[in-house]
Amino acid sequence: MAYLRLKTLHLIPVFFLVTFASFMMLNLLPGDTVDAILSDADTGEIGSVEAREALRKELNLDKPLIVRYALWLGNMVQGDLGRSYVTTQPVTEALVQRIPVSLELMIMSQILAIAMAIPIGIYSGYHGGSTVDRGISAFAFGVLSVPVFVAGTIYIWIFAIELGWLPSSGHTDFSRDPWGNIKGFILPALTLATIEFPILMRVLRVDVISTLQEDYIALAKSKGMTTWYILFHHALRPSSFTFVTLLGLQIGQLITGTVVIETLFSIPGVGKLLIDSVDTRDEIMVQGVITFIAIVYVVVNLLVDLLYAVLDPRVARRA
Amino acid sequence: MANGTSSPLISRLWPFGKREETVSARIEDQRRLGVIFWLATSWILLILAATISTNFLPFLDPLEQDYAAVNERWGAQYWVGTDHLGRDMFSRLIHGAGISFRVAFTSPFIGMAIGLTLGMCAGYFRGKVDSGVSILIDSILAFPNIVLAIAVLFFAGPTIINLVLVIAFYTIPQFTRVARANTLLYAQREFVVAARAQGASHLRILLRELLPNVMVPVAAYSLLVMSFTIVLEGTLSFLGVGIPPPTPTWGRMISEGLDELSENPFISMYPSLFMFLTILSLNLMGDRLRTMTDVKASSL
Repeated sequence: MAYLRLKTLHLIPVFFLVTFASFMMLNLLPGDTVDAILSDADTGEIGSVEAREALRKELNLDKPLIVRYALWLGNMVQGDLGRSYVTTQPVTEALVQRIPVSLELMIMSQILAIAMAIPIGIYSGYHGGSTVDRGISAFAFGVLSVPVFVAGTIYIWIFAIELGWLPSSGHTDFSRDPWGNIKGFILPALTLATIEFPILMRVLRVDVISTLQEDYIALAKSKGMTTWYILFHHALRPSSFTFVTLLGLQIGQLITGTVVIETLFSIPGVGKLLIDSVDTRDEIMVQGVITFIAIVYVVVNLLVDLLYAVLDPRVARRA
Repeated sequence: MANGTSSPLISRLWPFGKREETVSARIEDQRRLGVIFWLATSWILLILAATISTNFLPFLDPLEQDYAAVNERWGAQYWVGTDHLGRDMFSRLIHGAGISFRVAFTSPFIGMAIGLTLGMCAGYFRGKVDSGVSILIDSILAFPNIVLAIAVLFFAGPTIINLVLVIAFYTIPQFTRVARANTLLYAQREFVVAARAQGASHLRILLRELLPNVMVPVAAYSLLVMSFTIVLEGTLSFLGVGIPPPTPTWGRMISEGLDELSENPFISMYPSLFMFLTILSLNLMGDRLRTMTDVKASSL
């Protein structure tokens, strides 16, 4: 409990730091903030006097910085991140529409990554030191040197263009066309999983190797149990501890990965919203999405820490 | 991705030479750099030399569009062909390396200078300084890196200075950790105790006794950080938030080629291959040097 309290307390300064940084971003804009937001990207027009005054009021630019931050933070906590000056859509509404899409992508890619990492990791660990194991390790090292967008581009080229098996872009609602929805997610999820699984696999492999040295494995072997049974019933669970922790730690990388993947495959998720808003120079929307991602990231990291402490009570006692 | 987690992985990857299973042979094995290391180094040096030579060798203009030769394959005039706008791809690949290498050779050094200072102070003074530094590092890591980079480049403008600085910012935690861990280790050694007994000041101990020792693993680690910065720069360019056109970058070349994949996949595939080889080379070199300079491994 003390650990939980300590960790949550630690969250408070980080929360203020992250939100303040997101808030200050608008002030990084060159020149007058109102000019920068209202000016049209193409024509350079800066809008009418009334519109400028209205925006100045809405952003509280007539008030001191710290008051502005407090007001912005108050609105944010109530779920109001302002509204886009390009599409006039409220930021929160846009986010709510897109979160399920990003979540589906993340969950599918994690399932695929786990499905790839567990059998390969166990096999590699069981045959530790063999030629196949060394081949797998070399392969994993190579895959770790492939950036996400390069992997995605290669997959699109092979599976969508050359073979024509799967669509390279486009997204359909699950409620309207479930199969089309899943089909559209296969390549993006596979790309993310390809990048994620070597790290998971390597960790599992090392743990399996050390678990297999334990006495109870020798006992199980001497009782005549099959290799398959020993590996999945006796070795997998004690070996999966670091694996589970790493899954949590990977969530951060997953978030940045989805930004890239959604842009590459034109999937209307939160990441695509961010990049689209950058393209249309939609300052308020960019600020809102970044604030949202940063807060999610901080909270998820906290949850992972706590989960870690639940799984392994030694962590909490050490702190 | 660059901060790989485990073990002397690379020694498992060594396909050359006999793999003796005696301890002394294994230690001997770890002292050798090996063929792959030198292949990787050659690739990096080759690209580096090509990038520098664009200043004085008559490469074709990477921006010039030759509409008579659109989507051409390899030939005498255009060595590896042209893209959908008839631009020479070889020249674009070499010029594109320029941005990647400029970032890779500056950001890590800014990050290293700050990270060394923070890490060595944390490891040497410990206590309050240590916890202060760790809060600072936690705060840096509180923002997912690509998202902060997008924000800074969007709000403050996509210039190379901003790009270098925001990437450098993200290399600080990695260097701090390595510097701190090694400082903790060396601060206990006899020569540091001896220096302290002679009345040397903190600054002198840090600079004269600790820095030369801590510098070695940190410098070895910087190769891995360089590969991380190249990935980050490429991702930002790919997303269209990095250095704006017309400057050719590998990331944007790949994204420009996406619409042409059925016509001319090479527009995306050449820069993909170049990026992969460069990142792989840096990872191989970095992993090898890290294993060699790792205190834990070498003291066994």
